[in-house]
Amino acid sequence: MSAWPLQDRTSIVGIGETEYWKAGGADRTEFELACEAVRRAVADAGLTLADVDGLTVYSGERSDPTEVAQALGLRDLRFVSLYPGGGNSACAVLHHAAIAVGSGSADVVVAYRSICQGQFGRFGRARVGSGTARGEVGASVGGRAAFTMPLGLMSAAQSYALEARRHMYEYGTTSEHFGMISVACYANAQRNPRAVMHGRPLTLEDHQRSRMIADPYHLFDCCQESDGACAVVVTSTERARDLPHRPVHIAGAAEGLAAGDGGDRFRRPRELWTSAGLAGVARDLYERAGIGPADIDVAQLYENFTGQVLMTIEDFGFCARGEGGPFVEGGTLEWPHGDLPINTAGGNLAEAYIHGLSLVNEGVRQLRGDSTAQVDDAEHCLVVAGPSAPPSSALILRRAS
Amino acid sequence: MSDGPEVTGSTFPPDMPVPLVEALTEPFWTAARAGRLVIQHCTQCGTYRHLPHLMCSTCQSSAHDWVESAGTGTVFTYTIVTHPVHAATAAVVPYNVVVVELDDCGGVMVPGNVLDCPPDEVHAGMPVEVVFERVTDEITIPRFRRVT
Repeated sequence: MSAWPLQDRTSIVGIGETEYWKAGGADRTEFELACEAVRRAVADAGLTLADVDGLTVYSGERSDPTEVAQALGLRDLRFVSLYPGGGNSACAVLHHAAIAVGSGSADVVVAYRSICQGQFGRFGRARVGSGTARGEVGASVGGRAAFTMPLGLMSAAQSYALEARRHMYEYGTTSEHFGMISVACYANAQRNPRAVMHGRPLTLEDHQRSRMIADPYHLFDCCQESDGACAVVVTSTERARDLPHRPVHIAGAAEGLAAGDGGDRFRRPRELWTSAGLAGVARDLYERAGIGPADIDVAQLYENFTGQVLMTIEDFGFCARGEGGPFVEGGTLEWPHGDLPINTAGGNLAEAYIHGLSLVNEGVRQLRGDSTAQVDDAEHCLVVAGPSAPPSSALILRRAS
Repeated sequence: MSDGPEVTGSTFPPDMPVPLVEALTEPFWTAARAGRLVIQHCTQCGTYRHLPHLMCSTCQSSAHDWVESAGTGTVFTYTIVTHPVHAATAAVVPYNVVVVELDDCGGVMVPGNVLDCPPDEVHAGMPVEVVFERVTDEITIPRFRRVT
């Protein structure tokens, strides 16, 4: 495959976010938060709302682009996209923004996500269906849920626990390995005043003593439930040079779904039970950005659950398949001394669960030199969206030279 | 032929969601009520599939029949659910959910529960066989028990 024609052609020029709260804490509506995040990101970019001509959203975003465009008085909206699924999409929306801008279909595209779990219910609670077709669990359940919910298999934590347990069985991975991921995220949140878990340090012992949710997952293996919104502005690298911040290039963006994977995870190929399903995305992403895992200075890895982060690390080639457990030992993921500092704002576990888009904001801060856990001289940041939730997506962000 | 015993006395309380019998899955539930575990099988290319689906992922044919499994297999993976997310499970935690890799029918993965097995004894690699739990007059759910 020849070089990706969009390599470094588009840049992230603005990021915005609201305050983040524990679910139920927001003092405004989800819609107001969405609009606030977009306005802040556009202002951060040194642009005006009149410059915005594209919106890209995901996971049945309740703050619908048509409502947001009207409320914000956008003019000449030329590009709108809605990606399927959930947190898997957090980098796909940036992929779509890069395609829209790089192709000339739009000039300034904003990706945003608003999520008020306190106002609308927890994302991963027991419900049937998916996306906007979700409904409460009734007395009888049809479709695929007919084969899972009557068995008590009803939540994301339970489903992802099945994969974690198989990884432990095949490779000797332990709950402590999962806990090391939580500890790295929580430590970073202590440096980040925005983080919901700021002031709430976590030790490996705390992790091990925390209540079990669905074996092997303890409470601190699971992402938070949060209220908040964030947004990211993409434009051409050419235009970015005239804007206030040092541009952060989209060096590569990729999305996809492994052969045989899909909506029914019971029919996926056997080997995907111990993978984040991202090996193909990783291959495409590195090729498009023209770099490899050794070039990554810092990573923001979506934590739905910690075991899936460990499998993400394997899929992206930081260690061999099955060696994620030993790899995370000895503080590998911890800022500032680890070889692969992750989730430097605290991640979904300890900053906020804004469905992963907040990880993109933190990637941008790292390459601007603005993180509260700044990696010295960071040039490349990997951002990975929801693992083991196909089709998923990832980005490599590059500091402008 | 799977000849697992019928179990009376449900694993979960009466307010637990029960499967809705739909056109695609009616043969599965009818067989279960008769004490048989059947797996969907493509009559064009021979690929087995579970969970049931309208189309074969290998050859895209919709033509299929249902093949009876001997109902034996191995626990591929499991979880022990401690935190109830539905009111009906509050009284029964901790309970197990397993994925069983069947010995026959292409080794399809079948979600289930292992009955009469303490949480700390459930493990991957454990041999199991199907049992049939009658939960309503219409619905019988295939679950599993240990093979010793």
